[in-house]
Amino acid sequence: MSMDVGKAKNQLQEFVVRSLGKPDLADSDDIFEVGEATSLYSMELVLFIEEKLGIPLDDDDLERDNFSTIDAMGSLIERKWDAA
Amino acid sequence: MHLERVGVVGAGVIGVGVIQDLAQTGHDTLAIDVDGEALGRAERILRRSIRLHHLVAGTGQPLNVNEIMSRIRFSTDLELLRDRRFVVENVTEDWSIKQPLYEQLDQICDPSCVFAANTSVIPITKIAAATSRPSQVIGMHFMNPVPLKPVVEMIRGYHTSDTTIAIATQLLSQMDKSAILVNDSPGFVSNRVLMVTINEAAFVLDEGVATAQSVDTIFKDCFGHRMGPLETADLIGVDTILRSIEALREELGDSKYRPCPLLKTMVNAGLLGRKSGKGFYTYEQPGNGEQRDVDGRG
Repeated sequence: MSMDVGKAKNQLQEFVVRSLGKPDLADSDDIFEVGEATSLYSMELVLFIEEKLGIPLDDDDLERDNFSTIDAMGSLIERKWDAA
Repeated sequence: MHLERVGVVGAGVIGVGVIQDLAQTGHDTLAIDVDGEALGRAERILRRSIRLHHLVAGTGQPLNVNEIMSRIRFSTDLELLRDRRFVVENVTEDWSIKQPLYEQLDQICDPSCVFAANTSVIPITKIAAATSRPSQVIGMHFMNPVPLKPVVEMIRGYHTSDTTIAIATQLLSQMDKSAILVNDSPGFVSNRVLMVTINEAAFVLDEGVATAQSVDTIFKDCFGHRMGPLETADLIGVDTILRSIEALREELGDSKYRPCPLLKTMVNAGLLGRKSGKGFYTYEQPGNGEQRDVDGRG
């Protein structure tokens, strides 16, 4: 992996804020609860993590809870990074 | 009667959704497209969509991708449809493509086979007339994304029989879907109303009355719609929108269906919406996902 985990998390955070057009989105906000993201958006998040950040996800990782907040996605990235 | 084997012709955006839904609900699915590359693309999208289906649908339990994919056969050969009793047609909304296709299907398929036209705009009675079995032709207007939409607009053509309606309803039931039956008319209900709305939204944007985001936010936050008209256009495909509004004008002959010139410009420029990565909005990855930023219009 060519970047460090902190940079990967930052890129993800920037992507979510930009793609949802919500500069004031808190890292702990549930993006599905606040009505900013449709269920299709979860597919885009997986593709971003796998294809843009180059972090492959296992089927077990594909749970809504892992993608509901920026914090949760950051934790997921850290876990995958440590396991790699 | 349980329908086991279903044919799907046309592996574009909506066709892929129908293929995915059929395979996920246990059907032996034959996917036909004249374009081999489109089939390769469809296979990649299907693998990805099935893998992520539980996440997108919020159903919790992951699906067995290989098992579901094993129910799908891909081919460019229409002749393979010979053993099907039900065919869903999803080719481009262009009469010059649909008419010869139905003539071919009529020759190839078993006399008992039902044809469901997954069209959003071409009259079912007109399609039926291209075959020798007009009572077995029905409209099934699936919505995108197909696996997430539980209701289908079903259209009874002039000659469509009650038996055909029952068979089509049975298939939908097997796909965990239901139908709203309407009579044949250009654009039916959904598109006749929706296309005029999207076309007018494009005019509003083109005239600088409001930005794309403002137009869509009014529909979402004021009317409670889940998506605004321009986001919807990007999801459906701007080229499909243009063809649909042109078809309404052709069929109904009323100038209120005059396409907004912006739609033509966008199609000429390749700004087709989500599938091309850019339409009224720009998307991170073509073919998927959420809007990213608003075009600098308005």
